[in-house]
Amino acid sequence: MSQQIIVGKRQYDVLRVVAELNQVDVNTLASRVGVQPEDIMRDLAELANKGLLEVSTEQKTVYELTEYGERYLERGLPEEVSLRIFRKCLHTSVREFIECLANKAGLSKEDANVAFQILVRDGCLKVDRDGRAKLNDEVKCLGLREESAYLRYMLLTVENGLEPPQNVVEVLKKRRMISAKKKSVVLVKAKGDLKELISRNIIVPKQLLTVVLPSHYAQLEEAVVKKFDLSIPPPGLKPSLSHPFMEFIKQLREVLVAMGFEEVRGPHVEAEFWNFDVLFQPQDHPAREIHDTFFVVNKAVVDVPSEAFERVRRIHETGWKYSWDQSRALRLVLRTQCTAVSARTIYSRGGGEYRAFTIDRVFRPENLDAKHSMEFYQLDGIIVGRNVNFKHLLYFFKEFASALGIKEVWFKPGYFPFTEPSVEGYIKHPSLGWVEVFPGGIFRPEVMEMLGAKEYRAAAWGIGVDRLAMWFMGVDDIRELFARDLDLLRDMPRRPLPFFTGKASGRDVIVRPRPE
Amino acid sequence: MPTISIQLEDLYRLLGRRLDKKDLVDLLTKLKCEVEEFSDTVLVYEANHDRPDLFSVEGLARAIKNLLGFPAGEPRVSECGVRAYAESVEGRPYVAFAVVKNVTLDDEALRQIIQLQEKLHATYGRSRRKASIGLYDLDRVKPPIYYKKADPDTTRYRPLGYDRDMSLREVLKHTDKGREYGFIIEGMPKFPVIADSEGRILSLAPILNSEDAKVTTSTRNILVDSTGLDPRIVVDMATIVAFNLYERGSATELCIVKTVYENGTVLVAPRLEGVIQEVSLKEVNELIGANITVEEAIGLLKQFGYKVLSVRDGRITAQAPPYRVDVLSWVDVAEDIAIAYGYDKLGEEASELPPATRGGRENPVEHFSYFLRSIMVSMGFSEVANYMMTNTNLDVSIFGRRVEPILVANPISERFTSIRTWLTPGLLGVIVENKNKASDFKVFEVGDVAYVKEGRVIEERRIGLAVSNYNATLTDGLAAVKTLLNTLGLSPRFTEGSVEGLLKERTALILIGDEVVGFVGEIHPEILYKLNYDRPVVVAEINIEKLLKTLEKH
Repeated sequence: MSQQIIVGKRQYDVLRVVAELNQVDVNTLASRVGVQPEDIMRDLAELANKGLLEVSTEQKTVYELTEYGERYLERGLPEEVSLRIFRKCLHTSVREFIECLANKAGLSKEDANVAFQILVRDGCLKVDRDGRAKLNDEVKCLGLREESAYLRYMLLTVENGLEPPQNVVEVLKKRRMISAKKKSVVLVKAKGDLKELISRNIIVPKQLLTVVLPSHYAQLEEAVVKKFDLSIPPPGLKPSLSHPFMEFIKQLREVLVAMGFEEVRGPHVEAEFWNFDVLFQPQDHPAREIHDTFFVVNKAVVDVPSEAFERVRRIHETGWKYSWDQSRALRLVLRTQCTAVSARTIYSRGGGEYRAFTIDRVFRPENLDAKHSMEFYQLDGIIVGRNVNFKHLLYFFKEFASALGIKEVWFKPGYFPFTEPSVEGYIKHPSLGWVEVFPGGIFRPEVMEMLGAKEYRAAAWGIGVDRLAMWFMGVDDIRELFARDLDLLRDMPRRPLPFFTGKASGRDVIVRPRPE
Repeated sequence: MPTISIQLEDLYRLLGRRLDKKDLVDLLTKLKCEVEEFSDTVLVYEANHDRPDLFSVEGLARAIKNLLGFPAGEPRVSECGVRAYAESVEGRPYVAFAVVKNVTLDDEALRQIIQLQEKLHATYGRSRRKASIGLYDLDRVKPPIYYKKADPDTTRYRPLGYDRDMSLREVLKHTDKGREYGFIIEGMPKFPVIADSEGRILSLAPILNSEDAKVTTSTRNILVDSTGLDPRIVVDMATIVAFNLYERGSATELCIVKTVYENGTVLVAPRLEGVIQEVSLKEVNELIGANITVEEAIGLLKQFGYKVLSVRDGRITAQAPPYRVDVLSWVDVAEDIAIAYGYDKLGEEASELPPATRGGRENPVEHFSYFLRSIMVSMGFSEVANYMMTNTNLDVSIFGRRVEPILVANPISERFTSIRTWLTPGLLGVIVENKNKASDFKVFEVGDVAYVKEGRVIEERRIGLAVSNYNATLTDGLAAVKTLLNTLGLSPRFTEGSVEGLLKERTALILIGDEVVGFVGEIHPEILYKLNYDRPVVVAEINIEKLLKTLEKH
């Protein structure tokens, strides 16, 4: 193997042609390889340098077909075509015979004349005393037929750029079928035992590599690595992806966890007790009617602490002046707010210093359209402690806004039955303007007492996640958050970077006195 | 929330000055009112439920005057000698009356009165069930006034807006209001009416007043009534209306009416003394996180119409205006102080959270869910998300499932009548909807399902997956489940089992140890055929919480 001579694929083809013909002019060589002569000039020089070829330029007489030569090559020599039909014209006068040849063989008068002379000259025909053309010698006719076929083959040889034997050249020249010209020709000759080197696989062609295997590493010099055209667009893949809305929710969770919040969960099918009663919403409150709440048909139970009933009754009846109905509190609804989870959290943990949040689904009787949905996510959170205050709540919102890359907020007084003071926080979206996203407040003392944490305060809020997601995902139809079209989901923009810039904190968020 | 429409000219006349549009919006914001429409002549705003005193222009004007620092001072009150007597009326036991004298009304003022009445009915009165309001031209009534039971068939009067007398029962049948609100009283043997000393029926409570005593632009003295279920609420309602009417004119007077009940109880309206709350300034500052001084606090309280009765040892005894019904405890006073102080100022000052006592933590179920998601995506499954609300037929019936779904009593769309009991129908829906876009599907969803079992609501967090192509078989599902669980270090066993809706020969239960945690199977071809879907679908569902418990034991 080490003695191998490795050449490019084209150079290998050149060597094979040269080895076959021993000597060849460059035009012939190029056409055999299937390229233009100028394409192989460099190859020839390289192969000559390697001592495999000899390249020389010679003044050479070259022959070309004349008009006659081309015609005869195509249709046959005049005597050749005449020999096929001449028997039908025999026994006529010479003049009639020549005319007959012309007609039957499709020859010009001149060619028919030439054919007649040759047939007579070579002894195939004779003219008798009466001046009629007659068959002379059948064997001679056959000989002439062979010779004419040979001459035609020689015409083909000339057309292919080769030189016939000298005596034939003389005949062809004499019959004006070829003409001679002087021309300088690049001649390529085999050197040494080229044929044997090829047949013994000492000279081998380079490989074209499309897939480059590690094992090719040593041969890269001898191989050709296929190059790719980078202007051609590459094919695309269909990736399997996580859901863009679920990814957004994950990012929100990360923001909250990073701020020291513990994530909690609560049931979607909830007792009115947790969804309304412990949140100080009186049982005849409009939010507890069919227009605002999905009620559940099933008679089933979820966990409700009977221990708290008397407390809840007393506080409702004192505060709202009506007769509190325990059975109403046990009825099931699809929770309308994740504040129910916050309430459960405080009830189960009681007092203390802690922060908790949940991001989960809530339900309201809305018709599903571009702007409304009967099911959506809320981010509900609480900061519980003895000294938690309203300003902490406002700062939480600033910090949260900052984590989302929001730079301006506006705080508007609000009203919720379970918080006092209450606030509606607005954020300024770069293109959509001021939008309310942050309803919150400090749980009323009545709520904390019902939940068994009388000595503590809780800052609480419930952020509408779907609206936030729509803005950040650039979706303007809320239904697309739950799109079932897999192509649409795949093409939804994703956010590879965090929302916030490195330095920004809640303290950098500007509080506007009014939306402007 | 109630939407209130007012004329700007009317507001400026009541204020005695014009205001810049921007300033007016700021003032409305402090009153928790949200501007809906603001033209050159008309202002439409949403008021909050808890401030019924702002349901008409008079109340808004009064609140703005307080905020701007020129309060009206003590109301002019006189004893005008109108008495009222109340029989015990079961089903609607309470009534209160009030009188306002020397009012000046124009068409816009009448419109505001009607608007106030309607918004009070809708909100505070809970569609008149809890309480309702009526107004009468006092000069067309002969006091004393009586609240009593009347025979529905023999008692007749001319209802407001009609040109003929009707019996009380006919009023329920033949008038719009009667048909709308008749349900409140129609079960009573006798109907509650308000009548004067000459027996004229002024009103069928809480349905419709009489035409004869109606209030017009020429009315000067107005009688107000409120009937309802709770004595405090009826006095609240009468007080709000009386105080708002009081703003109509420079020489108006409030007249107190005592309503005497059969059992000796007396209800007095309008209420002149508002709720008194003693607030500790220290507690207020602790609640809102500010350092407001006593002097500042007194000024801020006045902006919301409070009277400061006394100040001792940092404790302020403040009295809310009588028409404020939302001041239930000291925190409500604190909120008014905070709003007057300015949420923008508080927001600007806000610069820290309380010190954190521990680091944040993800919920294990959520954390685990996200972990499973990443494995599924890496196995070439695309995540989908479906609503929990679904149609019971699509979720349960077409699969022949024996499960009790959570049914919604008041669905508003056929598409969403219950909560999903499993994830399979959602996954199947996604595949069927995309059938012309691809030939090969691998999708999954992590989500919650709910159903009732033995009288208890059960909720489960599940992961569901589906594979579909022309060559899909049970093996595709088994391979995905096995790989998923192996990644968690768990070795599942598969046993034959049956799941409704799946092909019996191609269904396997997933066991970890001896516990069934889920299933894998091919959807029954009959179901797919009916859904006009032409490829096999293999599904699997696993209970995430069961997996989590198993892993926690390890």
